[in-house]
Amino acid sequence: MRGRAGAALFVLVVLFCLLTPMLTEYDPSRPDLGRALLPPGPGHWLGTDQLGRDLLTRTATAGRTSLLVAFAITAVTTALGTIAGTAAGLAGGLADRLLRFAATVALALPGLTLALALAGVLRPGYLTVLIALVPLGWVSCGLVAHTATRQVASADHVVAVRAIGASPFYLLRRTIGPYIAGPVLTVATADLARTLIAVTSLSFLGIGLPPPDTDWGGMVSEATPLLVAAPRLAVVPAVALAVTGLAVALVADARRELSAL
Amino acid sequence: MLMALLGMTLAGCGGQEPGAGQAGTQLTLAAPRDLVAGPADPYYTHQTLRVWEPLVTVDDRLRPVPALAASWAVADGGRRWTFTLREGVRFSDGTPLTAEAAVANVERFLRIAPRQSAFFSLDAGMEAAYGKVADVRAEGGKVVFDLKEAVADLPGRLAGFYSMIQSPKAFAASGEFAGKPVGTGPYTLVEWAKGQRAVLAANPHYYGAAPAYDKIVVRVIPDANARVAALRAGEVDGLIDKGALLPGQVAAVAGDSGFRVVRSPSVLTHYLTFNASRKPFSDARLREAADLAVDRRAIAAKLLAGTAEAGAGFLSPAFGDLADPGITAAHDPGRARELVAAAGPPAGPVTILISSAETGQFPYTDIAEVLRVSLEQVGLPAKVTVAEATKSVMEAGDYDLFLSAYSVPNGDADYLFRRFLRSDASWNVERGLGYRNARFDELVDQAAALTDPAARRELYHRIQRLLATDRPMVALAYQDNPIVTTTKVSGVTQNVAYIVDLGKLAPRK
Amino acid sequence: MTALLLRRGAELLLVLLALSVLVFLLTSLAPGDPAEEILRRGGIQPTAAGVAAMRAELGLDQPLFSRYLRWLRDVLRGDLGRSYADRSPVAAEILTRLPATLRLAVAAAAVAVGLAVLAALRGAFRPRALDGRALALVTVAIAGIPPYIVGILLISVVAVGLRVLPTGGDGGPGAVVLPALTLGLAGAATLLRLLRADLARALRLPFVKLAAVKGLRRRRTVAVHALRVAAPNAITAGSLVLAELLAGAVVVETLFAWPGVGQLAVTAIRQRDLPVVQAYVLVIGVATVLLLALTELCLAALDPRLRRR
Repeated sequence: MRGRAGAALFVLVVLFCLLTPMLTEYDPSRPDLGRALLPPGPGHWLGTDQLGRDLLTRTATAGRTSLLVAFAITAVTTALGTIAGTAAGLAGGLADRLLRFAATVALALPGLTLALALAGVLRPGYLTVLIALVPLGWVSCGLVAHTATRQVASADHVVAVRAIGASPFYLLRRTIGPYIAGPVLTVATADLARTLIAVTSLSFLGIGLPPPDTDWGGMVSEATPLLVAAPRLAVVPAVALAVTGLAVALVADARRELSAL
Repeated sequence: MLMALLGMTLAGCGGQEPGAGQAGTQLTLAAPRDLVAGPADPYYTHQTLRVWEPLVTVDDRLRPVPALAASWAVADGGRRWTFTLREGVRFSDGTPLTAEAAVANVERFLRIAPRQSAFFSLDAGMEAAYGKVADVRAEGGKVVFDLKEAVADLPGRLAGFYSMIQSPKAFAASGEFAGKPVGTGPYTLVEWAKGQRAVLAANPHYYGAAPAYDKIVVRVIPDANARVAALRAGEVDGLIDKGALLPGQVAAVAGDSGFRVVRSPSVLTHYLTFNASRKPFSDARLREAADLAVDRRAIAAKLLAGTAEAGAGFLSPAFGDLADPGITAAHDPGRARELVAAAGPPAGPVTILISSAETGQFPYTDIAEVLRVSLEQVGLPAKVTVAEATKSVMEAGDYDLFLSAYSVPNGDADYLFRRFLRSDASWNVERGLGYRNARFDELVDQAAALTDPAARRELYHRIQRLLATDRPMVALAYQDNPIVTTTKVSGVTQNVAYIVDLGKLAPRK
Repeated sequence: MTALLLRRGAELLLVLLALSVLVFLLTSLAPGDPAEEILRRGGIQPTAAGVAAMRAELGLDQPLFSRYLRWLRDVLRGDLGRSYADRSPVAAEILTRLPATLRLAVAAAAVAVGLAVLAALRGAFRPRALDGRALALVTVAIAGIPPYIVGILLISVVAVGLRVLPTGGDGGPGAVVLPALTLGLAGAATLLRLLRADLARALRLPFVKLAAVKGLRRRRTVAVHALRVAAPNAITAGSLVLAELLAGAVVVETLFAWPGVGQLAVTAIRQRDLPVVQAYVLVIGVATVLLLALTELCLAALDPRLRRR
């Protein structure tokens, strides 16, 4: 029930981000100082920002960036984590220890600060955000994939399939894959929520994407000086972000309860 | 009632409600940076805390005016400068200010330079101030400088930090601070928590009118929004120093009847620096086109929210009559388009570079966006790059237009030209500006040696006219520095170098 | 037990060593010449001789490996280098700011644990009660919202609007409330999730069921028997959350002008003050590793089953 509500909310957010820029006539990245800081009205439903850009359109476009970046990073970390976790789980022995070791080291590092430091050393941009968040992002997925693989690998039917000489790919596809898919997906959903926060936090601290591209965190950050004069500039992207985070968190929570992780 | 009581208790135990109860004895201010730099710094504290005072300071037009020096005289065509000290001045340890003490301070500077400072390093500017000094000595209660070459404006070059005077007892033989700073100002530093707060107490030996507050606490709040929140929550009575309020915050704070915003011109100017060592801006026509494409008025009025004036000449009005008022900067996209058409459109987009260190202080992301669109509208496609370390990017030549702010806190125009634009200037050479003009170099050298104010002014006007046609760097806007206090505080004044005279602050009756 | 201790000890050393290598590489491979950067920081025009002297002083003229060894030796002696910005010793700066961060992390952990235990117990007593479910939902919802948004909201409403609590800084006991709340709310959800799952499992355990059958009141069953079973996992989760809070404090400390190491790190990153960034990452990393190891040790001492693993 909660999960379904979360999913529905998430679909709504995605639709809003995808469709709004098509439905409005405004260019979200074209400043027009003559129309700066217009209050909400019939032309601009949510008003305009300090550069005269339509707030509604800009929020939707920024949302595309936020979601896309969070999705891309989660996809990469999930893939990496799954591959590393399954491989270590199947190989056992040294690979097993190595994985645990790498996970412990990664868990010990202060993620956001490390990301900040990396982002500070490199140039702001999509690639930098990716580089900053991937090295530590794979851990949770890797550990879960590892545990699940170990569990299923010692199960009787898998031992049997192995004994009759099935190829590793067959093993992965037919027996292990289906078993670990559930837990991995659950962790991936939780990771998505975390990544969304991490990406926007980087932007909020001023180390995000180069203009004119922006995401919700960047919008909130840019709008904070105007928090008193025009609070809606910060409130709108913040609400969008909160709703998205809520939706993903609800889905993740419901999935977790199902798989009792 | 219970809630109010609870609120009072909480506020009380937080110690955050200044002025409640013993009004008039304590003042709490906040600044974006630590105004105390500690014993490793050549000055220990910033001038604005008024713990120490200089011989010479500057007024609102960057003119040198007396501080601890009551007056000065020049002789020998600019080769001998004599400073007469104010009488009856004592340091906060009770010892009197003497010419010998002043000389000891100058000698200390010469001994420890070059030395970095959080405020004003003893470096190239130090070279400009003291580089030509052959001898400094105390003579009949006066401080006498004998110079190797004539210097037209020694008081201007010494103004502020470079003529700080503290009791010689404040320093160890090595020139390091022996303990807390010992100055002549209305306040003394009694407590310092690095990066958090400085506590000042009234100096009982102060020569002037006794300061109105017994104690001033200056908190460090680096985040601009946290600063304004503290002000609005009544935790601090005012925000001071460079960048106390962001441009976007000014209108909302000024609109609140409980606060009073003081805006005064500052030495800070936003410049656009062209990379003339590569295409397209190696072509003077395209530099002119970019210059004409920019709507400076809109940027100053809207993006800088009226806290700045549209720029024109290289020297801001804060430089007083040294600035050439005849120079104007037009906004003419039509003419710009013609120039681009004549020069031929560039092969790729021009790169507008900004520093992420500055985006927190000024809306540079927004300004860069507007610049990008303005350039595109006249046929110069552009993209914006934000870099953390702009220096390495510029050294690699990987930019076309650089937006950044500079200030010269002591009104030394010569320093500005010499450091930024002379053919051998470090800025020009290292950052690949590619500006080489022998005529300009010659004029700068001539002006530095002139002691006649009128002739010097004329020469500086010519230099600025030359820069207005060459356009290696153009002034985008002259920034004000808005500061704010509650209406309970009076006597708030600020000079162009962001110095608020804490000694003049008093509770409003 | 001794064998376990020895093995775990060796593993811990290896992890710490790997951590030190990573932290060292992070800053030594950053672009730019630190020697030049230090000299230029105050606007001094560096001469070639000056840069060479500074490079020698910093040991930059030596190969990477010997630099690492030298750095490690210094770190073990408690010398974390000097700040590029003002040449002050970094270790002293971190040490003076660490108590503030710890205070915040502990207060935030108290908020997180309190909230999570409350919601979990409420959920276990009366699974269908509206308030327990609402509490759980709110906790989950807040976990999806970035802490800076929660923080801005709290500052605007509680500190500026109602003026009941300070906006931040270190002024007195009241000042910690809002930042701790912001940070704690972010950590509560993780904890609640684990606690809830463990409590549910514990309630199905035979001896807990027996207690219930014996006629023990449900409240007592949950509080005494089930919670004890769920406790080890909760303690692990708690230490993980505490570690997360230590690291997550960067944003909150900036927002609330909290004078801890996180604020220091953000300022240092903005000024490219690499020794400070390096020291921060190292200190937080080592603290986290030790915290996790200590938790494991405590649990092993408490629960004999865990020792055999």
